[in-house]
Amino acid sequence: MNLPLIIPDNQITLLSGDVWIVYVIGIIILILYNVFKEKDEKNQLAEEIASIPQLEIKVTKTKLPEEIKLGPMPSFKVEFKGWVSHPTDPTIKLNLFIKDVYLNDEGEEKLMPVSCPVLPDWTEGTTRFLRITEEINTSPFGHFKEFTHFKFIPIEYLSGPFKGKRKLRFSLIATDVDAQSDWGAFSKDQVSKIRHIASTDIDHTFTEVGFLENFLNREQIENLSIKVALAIAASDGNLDQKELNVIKEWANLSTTKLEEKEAKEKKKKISNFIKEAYVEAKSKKISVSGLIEELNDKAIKEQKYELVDLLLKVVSADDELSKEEDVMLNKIVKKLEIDQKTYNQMKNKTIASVGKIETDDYSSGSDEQLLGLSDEVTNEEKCKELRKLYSKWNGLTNSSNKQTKTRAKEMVKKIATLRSKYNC
Amino acid sequence: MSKIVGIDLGTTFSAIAILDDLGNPEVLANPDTNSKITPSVVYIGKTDKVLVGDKAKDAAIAEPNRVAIEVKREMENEDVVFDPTKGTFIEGEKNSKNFTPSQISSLILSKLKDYTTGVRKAVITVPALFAERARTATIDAAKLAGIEVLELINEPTAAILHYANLPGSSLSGRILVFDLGGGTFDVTIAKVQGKIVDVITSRGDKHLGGTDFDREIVKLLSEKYKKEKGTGLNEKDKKIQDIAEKIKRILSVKEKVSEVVDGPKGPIKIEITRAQFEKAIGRYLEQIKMLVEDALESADCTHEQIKQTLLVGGSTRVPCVVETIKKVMKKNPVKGVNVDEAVASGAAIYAGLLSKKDLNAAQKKSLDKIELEDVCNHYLGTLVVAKDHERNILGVANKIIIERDTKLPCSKTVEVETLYDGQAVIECSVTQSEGPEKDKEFVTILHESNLDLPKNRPAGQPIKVTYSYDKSGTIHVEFLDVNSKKKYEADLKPMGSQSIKDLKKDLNFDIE
Repeated sequence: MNLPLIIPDNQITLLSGDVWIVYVIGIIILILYNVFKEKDEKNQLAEEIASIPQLEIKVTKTKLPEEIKLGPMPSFKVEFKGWVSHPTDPTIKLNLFIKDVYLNDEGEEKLMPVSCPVLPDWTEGTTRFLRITEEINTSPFGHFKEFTHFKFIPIEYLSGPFKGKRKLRFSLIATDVDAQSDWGAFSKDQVSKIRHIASTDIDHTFTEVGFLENFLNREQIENLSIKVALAIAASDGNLDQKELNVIKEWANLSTTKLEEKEAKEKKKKISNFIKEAYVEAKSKKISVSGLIEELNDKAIKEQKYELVDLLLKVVSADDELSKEEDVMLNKIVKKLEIDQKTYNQMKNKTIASVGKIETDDYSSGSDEQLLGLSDEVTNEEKCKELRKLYSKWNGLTNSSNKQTKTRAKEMVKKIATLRSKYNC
Repeated sequence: MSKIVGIDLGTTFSAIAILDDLGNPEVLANPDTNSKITPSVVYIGKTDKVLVGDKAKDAAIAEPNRVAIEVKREMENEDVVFDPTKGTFIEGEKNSKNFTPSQISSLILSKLKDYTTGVRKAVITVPALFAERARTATIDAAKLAGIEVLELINEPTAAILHYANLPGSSLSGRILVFDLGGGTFDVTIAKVQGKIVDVITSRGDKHLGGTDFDREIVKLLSEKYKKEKGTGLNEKDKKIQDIAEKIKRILSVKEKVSEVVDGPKGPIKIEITRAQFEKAIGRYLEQIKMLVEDALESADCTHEQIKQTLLVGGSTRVPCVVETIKKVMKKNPVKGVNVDEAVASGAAIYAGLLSKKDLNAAQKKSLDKIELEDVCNHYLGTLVVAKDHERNILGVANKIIIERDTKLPCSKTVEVETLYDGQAVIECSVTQSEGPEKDKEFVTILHESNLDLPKNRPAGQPIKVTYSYDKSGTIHVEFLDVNSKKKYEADLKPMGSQSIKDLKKDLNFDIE
């Protein structure tokens, strides 16, 4: 049992001299007792864990094999050997955790779970921390002599707490089927359900911003996004009120989950920030490339797509996609290093819904920009891409949405004209 | 005895065919003109007089505003009506002074029906990629004309049936049907073995045909007129459009043509060369090439593997169209069959196949060995909440259940699950798209309903979604909650949208 270590001030003043000394000595004894007791408990726990029959884990970096039809993605291959047995149950659960090993300010080794935002089935659920489980049939004498395959984990699916060179600890824990982990670990009352443990460390470099860093930078990223959005809104020389409203609405989304008072304060802060940034944008003092560089350093992929979504809403707010906006949009997207195909899909929705698209005749290259046709590919590849685009927009001429249908006919014309240009 | 007919309801020309006593298709001629094709043109007089076909075309010279043309292109538009005071289809509500596209089409069908007696049932052809609304409107038009639609059949499929059934025809292997009509273009690849036709894929463009070529000639005429007179022509003038059509026909056999064009600043003689015309329609030829390439890719074959290319539709008479086919297919297309009549003939054959019990012995024998295997021309799916892994967000997405080009009949099941704890209802939506669209904005919703589920269950309850698509075009959908066995079922088939009573309103005409 732990005693409270803080005594209210008013109680101290009521104690006389000797009583006070006795009281202090008593407290010291209690503290020492608690420390030793805790140490003893820790030792006991360590002994208990050490007594668990050992299991071995091997992790290697490899590519996904062909039979897993996700393409040859770089992945971790996890294997195990040794005891996987249960004294009474015919089934045992294997739990795999991956944790980032870091040193705190005191130089102590700490562990932070790695998350897997892509596959909910591979997480604890609410926390998004990675936990891959598999129940296997076993016996009291279950033993794997050779390394046996457990899982391939596509590296792309993992999100670490920090960007850069990291040490990752892979822990494979065999437990009773009903053992539950929380925040990437088993609580004391679950320890008795652990049957075997194995772990190994692997060096790995995360190229994406870590989720913890990202959490701390969230507000800064929002501000950077607002500035980029204002810059694109001003790119056609006219910062429209409708465009501004879209940006304000987006910025205020971050306040929806806050308490009323907190939300009010944040809204005020956002409003002031937008006012200042608006002046900068109007006088064209915003360096978009600088902002994007900073975003690339701080934002995760998800936030980059949120920004692109915002930019598409901004450029279509006045119901017209101008040439300048389109050119700038494409430049930003290229620099943000996001998937071009996903961007094209997002942009197609804007193209289909916006009232007017401003482009030059096909010789100026603005139609290529609009269609997201890369200038880094051969004419033959362009022809193939144009055919795919034609197939899409030709199909949309059947749309029940009048605007989409009209735009689809325009796009078909643009695509066919470009095909003639490239002599397909 | 009632006759079963096949009707090619075209953008610019229509035709009707019956099976003769020996089971051979026979395209019927208009008794007034003895022509087997009838212009899809309707004149609506100030009194209750209606002219259809050549007479309507003639009437257009005097009263152009009262003539409706290219109504097929408007069949997919629910909210347009033909306004006889403006001579065009406009957006607006139906009233006693205007006409829906279905009503106009019904007048064409009524005219065709009168080429013979006892027409009650028909197979009507539609472009392979005709929108669902356009199919419904076509059935409405038939109902109005007093015709029961046995089935709608895709135009290129009908054409290939005709070719396969020609006396002495010995088609075998992969055949490409190239159908370029007045308003639409379809390309179909099928495996043919004697009289057994197995469609592999169809591609099409509903806005590509001879009338688009005419419009490009009108533009050329206007540019040339403007160059000489300083002002352009009224491109909607039906007289100019007729001249353009004439120029197109002449350029099919001559290198150049001169016509007198009467514009706002008087008449002048304008020369158009074939080269100018071909340049003007370049982008349409490119569209044709893309569709053929796309069809070849979908059929997983190269041009070498296509045994024959068959031409259908009047616009295949344009020399550069044939050159384009040759360029893509690296061989000459087959010639020698009437390109204007093949579709209606094929439709009549199909009508016979659907009504075998009504045929005589000779007709039965004639159709005995004919078999047709068709494919689904669209992607069919349902809306689900799905994760976009790239963007890491949850959103409504279209989940495809039946892929395009799947052989009919077919049945496919996918399993989805409930999204949240206590979910008491799921939305059952049926979507259709031309491409493998994931985005709900880009699909057409054919049907929507709800399925109530037992309450207080955790998320993740399995729901089986099964679509079965039969040869007649009926889609049976079933959404089954696996654990409670509760289900929602529906049969989707183009049925026509309105009751005959509503459709017949304002349509008591004397048709000539």
